Amino acid sequence: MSDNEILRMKGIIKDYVLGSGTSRVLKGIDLTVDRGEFLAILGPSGSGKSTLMNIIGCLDVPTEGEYYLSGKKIADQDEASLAQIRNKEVGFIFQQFQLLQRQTAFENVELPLIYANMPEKQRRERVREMLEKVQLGDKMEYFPNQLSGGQQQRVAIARALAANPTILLADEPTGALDQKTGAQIIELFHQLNEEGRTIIMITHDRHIAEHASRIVRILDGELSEGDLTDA
Amino acid sequence: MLNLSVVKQSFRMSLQNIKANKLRSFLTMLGIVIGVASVIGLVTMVKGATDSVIGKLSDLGAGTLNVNAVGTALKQGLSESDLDRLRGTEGVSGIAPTASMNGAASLGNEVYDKVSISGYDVVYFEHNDILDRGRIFNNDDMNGDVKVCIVDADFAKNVFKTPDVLGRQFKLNGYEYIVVGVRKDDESLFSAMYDTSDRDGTVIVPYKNVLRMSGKQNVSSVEVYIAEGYESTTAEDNLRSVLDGIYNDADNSYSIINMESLMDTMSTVTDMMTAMLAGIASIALVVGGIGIMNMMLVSVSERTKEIGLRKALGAEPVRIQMQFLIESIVLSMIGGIIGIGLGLLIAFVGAILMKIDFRISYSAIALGTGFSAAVGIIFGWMPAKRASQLNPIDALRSE
Repeated sequence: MSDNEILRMKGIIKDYVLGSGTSRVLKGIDLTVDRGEFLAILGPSGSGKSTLMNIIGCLDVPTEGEYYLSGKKIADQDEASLAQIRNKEVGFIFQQFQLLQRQTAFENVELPLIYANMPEKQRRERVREMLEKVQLGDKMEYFPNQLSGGQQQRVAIARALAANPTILLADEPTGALDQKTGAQIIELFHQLNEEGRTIIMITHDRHIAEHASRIVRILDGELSEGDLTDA
Repeated sequence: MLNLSVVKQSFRMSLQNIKANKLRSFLTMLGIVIGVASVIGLVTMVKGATDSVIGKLSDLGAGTLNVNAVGTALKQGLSESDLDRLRGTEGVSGIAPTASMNGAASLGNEVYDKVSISGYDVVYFEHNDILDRGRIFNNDDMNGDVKVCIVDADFAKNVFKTPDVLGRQFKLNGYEYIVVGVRKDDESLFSAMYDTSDRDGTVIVPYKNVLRMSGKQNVSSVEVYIAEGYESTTAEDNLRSVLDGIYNDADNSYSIINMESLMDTMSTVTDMMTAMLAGIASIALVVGGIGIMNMMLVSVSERTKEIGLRKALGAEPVRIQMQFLIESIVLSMIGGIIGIGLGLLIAFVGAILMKIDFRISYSAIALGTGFSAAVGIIFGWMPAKRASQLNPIDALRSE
């Protein structure tokens, strides 16, 4: 693994056991990601992109193959270990924001830090810092239903950044937003990337994918590198 | 692993969730509330009633045996020599013959014919503190020509129309009597049992006067006082021997009431009753617990997405389990606290209505608290475990 590599997948195979037999969703994926990359994984629905994302995010383990994240091997670990790895290494950003509705913006961003066992005072500082970074420092006590879609996604991004993870993993981050707001979010991603953040974005929309610095395409469980002129 | 912040957060969130679903939470807690309230209410009332009764029984005299000797066709009652034999029984420190009858008092032209007459002797007053003012009988009174009596407040009010009756005179069943004392209000168990509102009052006279007025020769009831160092049962057995001797072992010639045995039996019975009541009320607790388990299962399935998110953010299964377990404990303990409050209120109202004491049983409260916590843990366990085992991917995907 080179010094700059933070993610390496080799021969990743994922099978799902169905009633009738097994279905092979990922058919031998190789992927490396360097620190500071802004990668888009582009594919239609059914291509296996969600399954790939789950494995990258340590929500699932591959049936076969090797996966290294930050130099650590993600093997068949128990749920408790995977949870801890996720907490430290992966910042999730979802299409539907996935904020806790009955908690304030502050409390939402705080959550991964509580699971990281960070002391209260430190947490408060960190949360404030993150919310200010996404320009929501004045909305800390607001509830999600008091915020616009774009603002909610920004809270989610602040939450994803809170524990200082190795990668930000975004699943269709602009899918629930209008074009203008979506553009703002992509702009924020650029800004974070310029600061050195590694971002992996999953999408089916090539216009969104074009904003990334590198695109890989996934189709039928297989990955292919390349720009969009191949399409 | 289980740090304070997570516990605090879980606690806070439990309260939030309960507030957010007020009606549902209330209905869920109802089983626990009813269960705990009935345990606390019943146990408290039983304790209050028992303490009342035992207190009054004590007033009647632990250390006292009540002998009722009707006798046989051949020999009725107890003669003076019989009484001496009783006096000399081992374990007996003294005896006080008693007698009673109904009579009429007259003062001037007024006649009061609903008078209760009680006959005691000197020894009685040594063991029963009933005098409010004036004096008790002495040995001269017992055999004297001047007839003395002690009256109660009702008699003073109804006959003399004033509480100031010491030294006053009146006729009782035709005999001249002079009042030497006034008794205290009778708060004994027996007086509580009988309604004396339409009676004219009670007059206490030397017992031999009662015998004479009622035309009887022998006494048929005696209070027997147990000597120090003797068990009531021992003294009772000894008395029985003497009485059997007097009546030649005839059946149903006499009966002995042993206050102490009565109180012991009473305690045992109430303990048993309390345990039974608690057992029955526990059934309500089980039902309440099932209600909690049901609600928690619903809560878990409603919050599947939330659980998935928490796991994605780094919550280990144990943390999820702890979160939901705390929620169910909070729910059941709030129900328990409300139940304790309600139970005490019920007991308080019951005490007033039934004229018994209101005695808070701290052990019952501790039990109620402990039980509700236990219910929260036992019935919350399965839903919490289930929540912790959810697959985060599926959970996040659920609607």
